[in-house]
Amino acid sequence: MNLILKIALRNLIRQKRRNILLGMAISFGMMILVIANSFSHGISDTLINRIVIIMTGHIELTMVEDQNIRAPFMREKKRFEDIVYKNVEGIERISENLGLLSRVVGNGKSDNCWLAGIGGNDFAGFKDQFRALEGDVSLIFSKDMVNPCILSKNKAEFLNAKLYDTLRIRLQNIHGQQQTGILTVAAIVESANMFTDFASFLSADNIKTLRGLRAWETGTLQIILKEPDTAVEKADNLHDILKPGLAYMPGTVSHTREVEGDLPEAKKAKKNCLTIGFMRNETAKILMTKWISIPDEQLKASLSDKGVLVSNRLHTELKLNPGDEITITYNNRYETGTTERNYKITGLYSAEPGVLPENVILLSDHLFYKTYYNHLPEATPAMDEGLQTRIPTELLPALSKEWKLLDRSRDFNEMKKKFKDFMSEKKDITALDIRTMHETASNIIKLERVLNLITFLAVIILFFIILIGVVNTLRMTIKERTREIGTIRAIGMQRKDVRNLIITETFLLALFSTIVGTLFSFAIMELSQLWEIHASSFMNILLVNHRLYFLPNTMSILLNMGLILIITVVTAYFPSKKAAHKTVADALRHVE
Amino acid sequence: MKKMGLLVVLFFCFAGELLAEDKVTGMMKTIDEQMELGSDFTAKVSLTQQKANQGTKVMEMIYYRRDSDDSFLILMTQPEVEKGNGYLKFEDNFWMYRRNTRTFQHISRDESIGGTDASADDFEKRKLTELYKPETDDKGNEVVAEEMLGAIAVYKFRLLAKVDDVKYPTVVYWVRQDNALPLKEQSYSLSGTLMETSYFLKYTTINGKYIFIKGLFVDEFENQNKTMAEISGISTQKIDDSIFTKAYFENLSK
Repeated sequence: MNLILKIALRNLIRQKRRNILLGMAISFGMMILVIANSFSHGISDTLINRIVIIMTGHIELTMVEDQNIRAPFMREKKRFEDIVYKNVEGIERISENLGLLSRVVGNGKSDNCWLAGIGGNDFAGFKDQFRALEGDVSLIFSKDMVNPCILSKNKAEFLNAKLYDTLRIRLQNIHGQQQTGILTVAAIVESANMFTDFASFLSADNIKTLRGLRAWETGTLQIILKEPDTAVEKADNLHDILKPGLAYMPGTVSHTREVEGDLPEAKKAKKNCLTIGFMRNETAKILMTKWISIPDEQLKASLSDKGVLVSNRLHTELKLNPGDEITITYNNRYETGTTERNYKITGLYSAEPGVLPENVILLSDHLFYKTYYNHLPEATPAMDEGLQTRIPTELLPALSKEWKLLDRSRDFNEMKKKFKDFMSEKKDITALDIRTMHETASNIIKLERVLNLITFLAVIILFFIILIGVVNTLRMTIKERTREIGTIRAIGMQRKDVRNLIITETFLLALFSTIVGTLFSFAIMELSQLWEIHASSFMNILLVNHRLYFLPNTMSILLNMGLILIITVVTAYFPSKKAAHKTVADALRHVE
Repeated sequence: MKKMGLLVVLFFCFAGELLAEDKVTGMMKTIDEQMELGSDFTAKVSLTQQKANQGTKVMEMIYYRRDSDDSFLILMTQPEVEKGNGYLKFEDNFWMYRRNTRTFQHISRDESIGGTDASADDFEKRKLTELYKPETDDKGNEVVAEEMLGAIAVYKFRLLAKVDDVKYPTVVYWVRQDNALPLKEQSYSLSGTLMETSYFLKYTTINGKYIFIKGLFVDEFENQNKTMAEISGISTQKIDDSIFTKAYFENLSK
């Protein structure tokens, strides 16, 4: 084998011109493959890891309160983060998406602007993506400036804004109130792509303050995975885990008193109670009337949006009657202190023992959620578990849940339809949607696939044109060497060795050529970085810092190399076998 | 005698405080009462919006409202691209209708009407007294000042939101002293920036109730953009129930 290798190497060196020409063709093919593959990976990386991650993350948990789909926000950030970290493997990080649309007024110019929040977790990635032209990107967290912000060069130019200038902004806080603020330009960065040109970046804390979010609240939670391809599977798992529990407010109830001491002694008592909401849809109403009894004359008002139903036991103990005003008080889960709300009783109900705890007050979902979401009540997991098991499963759909978990959707159109259905009627319950980039950024994912397909087809066509030339040249070369083969057979070389010699020669030639081709492809990719490309806004998304972006992948390069080696060896095998099987006399007589 | 004098002074001071205490709340109630028609209402509304670098945009719509259940319907009639589109509020639901796609979408109350600065909640019947409370001084007395607005004697007072879901957390009113009609209103953002000044230029009376028929709304935040609102063709005839339905829009699109 060593001898064959030595002869093969010697033959390669001896036939310099022929082998160099053939090697150049193979190198060129390899170079095209590596460059195209790197460009294709670059497109995927830009679209998925630079744009989709900022826009939607790989998985996003979105809560829509009061059917305001334009400004989603989540009340219990920590709780959901903990659930995600506990149940989802392979998380790179969880980011808070606090972005919202605002109006920015610069120096004599104004524009719409997406305010994007950058948290401590996101800053390393953010810093890598944006090159500061002026100022310092890390000043985004400075406490010495009022709302330090980072603008792209294009945005700053449009607003006539210079470094350290102040901009005025107008936005809506989470309650829909008009809010204004000042931004200080802390850095101006290169316009990376059309998405970043539309945004102004602020620290997450500053955006939270402007939006009126409290420490335990956030916009949406974006999960960045180490393996984005697993997003759908992980989102499906999360969907199974995030089933809502019963929503209730454990507290006390008493007659409402306007002034201290204005009630007769008999009505001064305060009792523990459990306030639960009831849904007002038709199915829920049927269930309610099946499981609990409400006097006919109280039924209509009690099942309306103003419905407040008190149990017979509370009616007896506190002397509560329809028309009476009650005060319900409970401890807050996140804020300090208690929440106190007054309600007017619309009816009394009775239920079979064991259907509901005896101290339950039922509020219409409209009244219940209005208080529940704004001031989440303190409750213990033991209480949750106890209640869920005590109430008949059949009655549960009629009672208030923590949130409405929307079905998983597979693409953007399904998601759109799902929200259209959800928005068709007024709902007081908050919706929780678990979505992946395949739904929210499906257009970008499609764009990535189309661009990769175009690149792949172009490369395959070019590659096969080159390959046909190379294969043909290889066959001709072997044919030309028939007499040489006859000679070496005549001096005693075995048929098998002749075949192996030619295959080894071809293999070595292809190996050296693919290595050279790979080196050349890297040189060309590096050289391309010398030129800046100022493309239209659409093409701009394929560029990074106005330059073509290549992302070579070792595995792809090795696969391409393997592909070329296999094709050349297979191509060489048949003519070399044919030549080796010729008799010595026939081979020596062979004339081209 | 001195003691008597002192008592008289104290009485008037106290009485003054009592009067001031109720004055703003009283005016707010009067404003609510004066604006509440108690009957159905149909009118043509025209919004002329002037924006810097964008020229003038005119929008016209027919506004139907029913006070009894707080329903309303807005049917866009101008410009051509908006014609047939509309907004319907019925019970808890707030829908936006798009003629081209013949679809209804549930919207929030802060949704812009036809892309103007007017939002859906501007057309809702919400009582001033339910949304705001008067500003009070350290002693808890309502703060009110007497001023002249041009040649008209007015009361000026500041109101603070008592619920979260209002567009402007603080508003300042200039209200006529003789009939409690608002003439001017300034709206402030949560951080106290003046956002909008509204001038109620002309009122008409129908069934003893006041309805403003011409108003100018100046965007103070940005480039002094202005919107002129004019209301005409007012009718208080009963509106057919079929108007406040989705089917009404759908039939118009046929």
